[in-house]
This record gives sequence, structure tokens and C-alpha cells, in this order.
Amino acid sequence: MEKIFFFLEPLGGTIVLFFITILMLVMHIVRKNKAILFLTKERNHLNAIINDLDQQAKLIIKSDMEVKLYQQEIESELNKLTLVESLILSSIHILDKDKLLLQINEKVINSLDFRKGLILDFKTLEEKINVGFAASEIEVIKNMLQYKKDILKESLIVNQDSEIYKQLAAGGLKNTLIAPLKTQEGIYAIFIVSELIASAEIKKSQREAFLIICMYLGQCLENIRLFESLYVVKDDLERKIKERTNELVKSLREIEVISKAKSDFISSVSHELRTPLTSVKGFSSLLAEERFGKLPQEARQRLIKIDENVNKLMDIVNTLLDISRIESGKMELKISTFDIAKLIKEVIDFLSPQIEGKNLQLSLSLPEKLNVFMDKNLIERVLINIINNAIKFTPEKGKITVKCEKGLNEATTSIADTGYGMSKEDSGKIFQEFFRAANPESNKIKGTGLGLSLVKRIIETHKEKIWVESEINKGTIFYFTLKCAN
Amino acid sequence: MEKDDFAIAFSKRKSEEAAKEVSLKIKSSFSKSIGFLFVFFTPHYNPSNILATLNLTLKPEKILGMQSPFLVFEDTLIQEGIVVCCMSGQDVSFEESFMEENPSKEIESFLRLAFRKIRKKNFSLLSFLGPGINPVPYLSGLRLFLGEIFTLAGGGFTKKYSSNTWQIVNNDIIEGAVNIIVKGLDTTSLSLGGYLPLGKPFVITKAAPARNLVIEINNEPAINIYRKYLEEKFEQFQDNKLFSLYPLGIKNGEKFDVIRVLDSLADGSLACVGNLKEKDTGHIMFLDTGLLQNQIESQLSPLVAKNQGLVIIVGSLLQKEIIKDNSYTVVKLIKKSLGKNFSVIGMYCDYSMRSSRETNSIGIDSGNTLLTFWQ
Repeated sequence: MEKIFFFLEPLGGTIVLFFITILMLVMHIVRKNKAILFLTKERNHLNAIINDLDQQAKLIIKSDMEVKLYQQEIESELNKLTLVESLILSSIHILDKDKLLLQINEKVINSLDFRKGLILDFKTLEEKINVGFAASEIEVIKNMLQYKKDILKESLIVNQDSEIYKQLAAGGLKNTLIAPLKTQEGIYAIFIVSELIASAEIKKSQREAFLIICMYLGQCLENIRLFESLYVVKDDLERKIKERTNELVKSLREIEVISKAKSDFISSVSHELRTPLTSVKGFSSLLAEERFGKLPQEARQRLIKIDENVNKLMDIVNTLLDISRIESGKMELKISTFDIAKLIKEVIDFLSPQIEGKNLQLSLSLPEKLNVFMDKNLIERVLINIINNAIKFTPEKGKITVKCEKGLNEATTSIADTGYGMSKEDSGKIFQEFFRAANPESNKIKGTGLGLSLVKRIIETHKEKIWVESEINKGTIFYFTLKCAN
Repeated sequence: MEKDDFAIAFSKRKSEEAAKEVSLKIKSSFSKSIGFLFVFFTPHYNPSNILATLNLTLKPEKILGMQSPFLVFEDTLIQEGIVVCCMSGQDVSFEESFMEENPSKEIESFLRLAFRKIRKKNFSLLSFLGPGINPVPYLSGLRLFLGEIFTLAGGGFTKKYSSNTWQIVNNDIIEGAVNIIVKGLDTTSLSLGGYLPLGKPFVITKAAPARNLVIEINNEPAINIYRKYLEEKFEQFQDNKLFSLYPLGIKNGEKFDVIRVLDSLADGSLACVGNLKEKDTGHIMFLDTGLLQNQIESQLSPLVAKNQGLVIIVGSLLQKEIIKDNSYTVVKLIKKSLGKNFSVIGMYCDYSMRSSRETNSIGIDSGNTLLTFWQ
């Protein structure tokens, strides 16, 4: 440096120093300018980065919002599905219309994304449910519906462009949905929701969820209506059944009284008849046998006829007496163990003259011995009655088959003939008193119609079963059972 | 605080049965006399029944209860139930004060009365405010009377989550402000958010803090900050009222206080929950669940290695609203990170309040989860 100053000394040191300073300042300015340029470039670069970050921030926020809205939409849909599910679960068993509508509470309305909900009776516009609507707002709705509610009959939900919504909006009710709650009989109520909780306008999903709820409520109301009408029918039916049962019980009692009176009457009449009949019988027999002297031929023949008819009358009176005894429970069973096969053989022996008289073929299928519990005298009468009938109603050369088979605990006796047989209708009545089945010979064959009635009563007194199978022109089979005595 | 100095219990039974069950659980696990009892309960329960049952069965010297829509017990987020924590009064003292719902002008006299005795002494303060109390003038009052030397934690509500938001203070059931002054315990607090600041920072150029309003941001109507980022989607954003998805983050030291935007007004102002003033800078915030989980693990693990005690969580209803079902995972992760040495109870609020030693200030935050460690 000293060398430089020495060299420039002739020019004057101060001037030299001045120039050097200028030079250094210029160089500094150039350097600073370069730095400024660099920093400006850096700043611009940073600004570009920040702007870029800002742009990225925009992208992040926008795409994030889109995702979150989408998630919100899905959640909202899920919530509505949950709402429908819980509403169904809580209301499916409700069978009262008012109770059903009470399920529409604040929670349900809010789950539909609305703040306010109202259900009005369609006919009277009476308030059934109100969530959040002010009295003045309800007045606006009622005034509007008074003249325009018929529009609800046309569709499931009032169209969004409808005049109704414009009128409600003018009355301060924005974002409103109205739908009828319909049954097969017509509109039961009107459901209104208003004032969205979060969004600015009603979305399709919100409208659909509301519609589903309305349709579901309509279906529930229809079910309740059907149940109520079914209940009325059932109630009416029950009342009628009760009335008829009472009538039947009354009739049965009357029949029982009449039947008892009849039995009492038959019993007393039979008793009263038997004594004089016995006397008549005794005298008619003695007279017919000419014990009191010879009688003219004509008189004797007539007396024999009288004797025969007195016998028949005695039979009828005895049978009637037995029936009335059984009915009144006065007949005492003398149950003992006896061989049924032996009894059948005895009865066949007793009736063999009639069998032979009609040239009937007899077939017996009996066990060697089969002891049963029975009142021997009464079962003997049963066998006589049935086999006698078989003989009477089987034409000559016909066949009578008597069988007795041992079952698990019981012996079943059957008497089959190849007689005229009976219609199904007659078979059903054959055990009734004084009933006689129709067949070509019934007018010729004499009978009272009391025999089988007595037979049935005797078997039933033994607590056993008796039944008949018959076919016209093929024959008839009577069956009865008795308990085996092992 | 040693493990045997306190006990916690939870019941999700219906009505009075819940209070009976927690009482029995406490009785069987805690043999000391109860100096102080916390009870957090969801709106499903009647506070009178809870109070009567707890007084009858546990006979605590002091009792404090708060109603909240969601509670925390250990690793579970609870939608219906009662959580109880009781402490022995040895070496620790609790002083409670409360103010029923009142206009803000009475806050000053209430605070003067409440903190007259303890002014300038070292203590921790736990505060819970009902929906009728504006937290901004309340915290201003606290600063005025107590200075910046105390530790504050707490929370509050901006709206009712059932017909009432009840608080229990000894034998009183109120809706207002409740303070518990705790002496003899070391309390620290920590905020966990998982928020990312997005875009260029903005400056609040006009605000009305007393009314919780941000009027202008960057000399434009405040709503324009959203219009700028959402562009063609802004209308959809505003129609669906999605402000809660992207809260404002106001710079507080190295951190951000998350401010919930409730709605926009006709003039473009934003109605917020939080402490705002002009010249504050901030960002639009974006909650990243993954980041939140990383924060929980990274910030809690070093704290728990050698310590033990009780953690009271003031959860954020805003955070829960944004991350939805992930809230359950977050609660589980907090408990997992804290391990067995710490018992966890808590409640969810619209905002939390916390004093910061770094910035020497008290912040209102509506997006972060506040964890208060009682050791």
C-alpha cells in the first residue's frame, strides 16, 4: 500500500485517496446490487413457494371438504337407515294408532335432519304430534290445509313445486315437507317436517327418508285398521257363538227335562200297564186253552189272537221298562266273567228253529273259549235281538255269520247277514227308539223299533262300543265289544 | 401424588344405581378419609340423586361435579355414565368457589371475593364454566386479580347439551362458574391437537373480543379467508355450515390456539369460541388424525417414564366432531402412552383453558385436548 501511495505522491495523496474510495464504493455498490438481485430472486422464489403452498392448501381443503361431505352423506344415510330400523322395531307390535304416532318424537324428527315435526288428523286437522312448531306456525299450516288438503290424495308426497310450499314459505316456514299417512281406507293423517338442522336446502336423501317413514307409518296404520276390523269380526263371532251356545245349552236342558219326563212317563205307564196286562195275559191264556170250558171255534180263534197280541204288548212294555231303567240309571249291572263263545252257542241253539224255518245258512267262527266281563242276561238279550233281526231281515236261503275275535284287551263279536241291508242314512238312525229301516219286507216284518235301541243302551251301560256296517242288497254287520277277562 | 392418595371409579348403570355402584367401588378401593371428590356425569343422570348418594355413602369433605356429554375413564370414551375420583386431604388442600349464571359485570366482584385470600401465593387453579359464562371477560378478570403466576387448567361450554348443564359444588347444584384452588400439588398441563396450519398466515385486522367476533382478516370481511381457499366450493361450505372442520389457529408463542368458528354473520364476520384480538396472526387449521396420534405418542412417552399420578383430560368436542369415531382410538392411545402409572379421568368441553409459562398468558382453545397432570 505504501508503494502505491509513494507512486501516486506527485498527484497529491488526497486525490488518490478520493479515487480509491470512489472505486471501492462502486465495487461495494456493485456487490450490494448483486446481493439485492439475489435476494429479490430468492424472495420471489419464496413467494412462489408460498403461493404454491397456498394453492396446495386450497386443494387440500377443497378435496378434504369433498371427502368429509361424502362421509357425512354416508353417515346421514346410515343414520336414517338406523332410524327406520329402530322405528320399525319399536312400532311393529303397536296396535293403537295414537300410540304409533307417539313414536314420532324429537329424536326421530332430528334424525330426519329437521328441527320441527307435526302430525295432524286429516279430517279434523286436530293436532296429534307436535315437535317444535309454534302455535302461530300451526295456524298457518292449518289455514293452508283447510283449502288445499285434497292435493294430498294425489301422491305420496307433496311435490316440491307445489303452491302449498310457496304459501308456507310466505308464512315463514321454509324447507318443509308434507306427506299423507295413507291407509286403504284413505288418508288418516298429515305429516309435516320443517326447518333443516344442517343443510340449506332439502336433499334427495332427506326427502326419500321422510317418504319411507310416511309409507311405513301408513302401512302400520293399515295393519292396525285391519286388526281392528278383524277384532270386531272376531268379537261379533265370539258373541254369536256365545249366544248360540247358550241357546243350545238351554235347548239341551229342555230336552233333558223332556227326556226325563218321557222316561218317567214311559216307566210309570209301563208299570201301570204291566199289572193289568199280566192279568189279561193269564186269563186270555187260560181261556184260549179252554180251561173254563169249551168255546165256539170262532171265539177260540179270536182268543188265540188276543193272547198273541197280549204277548207282543208285554214284550213292548218290558222293553220300554228296560230302556227307561237304563236311562234313569236304575238298572243294576251284574257283571261276571263268562265265556262269550258258549253264550253265542246257547243263543244260536235257542233261535235255531227260526234259522232252520227260513232255510238260512249259519256260519260260526268262535274261539274255543273266551271269557269276558258282562252281565250275562243282558248280553244274551243283545245277542237274541241282533241275531233275531238278522233272521228276520235275511231272505230265505240267505247266510248268517257269527264271529267272535279276541283283540289285545277286548273281544269283538260280529253278526253278519246277507239281508236287504240299509242306506247310510238309515244306518245312522238304526239305534234310535221306534226307528225302523226301510226295506222291501219292512211292512211285512213286524217289530216295534225298540230292540236295537235297548241293545245300544245295554252295550253302552257296559262302557263298550257297538256299531253297524250295512250296504243295500248286500247285507248288514253288527259289531260290539266286551272286555276280555284274562 | 402417590397412587394410594386417590382412587377413581366408573359406572354406566342407569339412574341412581350408577352413583351407588361408584360409591361401592370407591369404598372398597380407598380406605382413607375423602378430602375431595370429583364427579363427572353425562346428562342422563340427575345431579341431586348423585349428590345425595355420594354424600350418604362416601361422606367427602368437599365435592365437585360437572356434567358433560362425553366422559373419559382410563382408556374408554363414555357416552353414558358417572366417573368419580376421590383424594385424601393429606398434604393437599382444595378451596372451591362458584358463581351462578350471571351477567359478566358481576364476574369482577366474584373473582375479587374468591381470590382475596390467595392472591400472590403459589397455587394451581382448575376452572369450569357453564354456557352462561363468557370465558373472555372471565379470563381477563383472572389475569387482573391473580397476575400470571399461577397454573390454570379447565374447560367450558358454549351451549347446552341437554336442558341444563349442571355443576355440583358441595351441597349446591348450579349452572355457572366453578373454581378449585389446589395447593400442595405439582400440576402441569399439555395440549394435543394434531392440527396443521395451512396456506399463508393471515392477520386479524378488526375484532370484537368481548363478543367473540372476528370482523376483518387481512382488511377484508373475515369470511373471505374461507372464500379464498374454498373458491367454487365456498357456497357449499357455507350452506352446510362446515366451519368446524377448518378452525382458525391463532399464533401463541411457538404454538397455535385453535379457535372454533361457530357461524358467519351477514356482514362477513365470524362468530368464534376463543380469545381473539386485533393484530393476532394465524392460519386456517387442518386436523390430521395421524399427526395427532404421533403427537400423543411422542409427547406423552417422555413424561411418564419416572412419574405417576392422576391425569385429568379436558377433551375437545370440536376435535371429536372432526375425527368422529377415531376419538375412541385417541383416548385408548392416550391411556396406552401414559401407562399404568397414571390414572386417567376426564370430560369433553366446547373449549379448554390453559395458562402458558412460555408466553405468560392464558389461552382459550377449542380444538386441542388438554391433559392436566396431578403429581
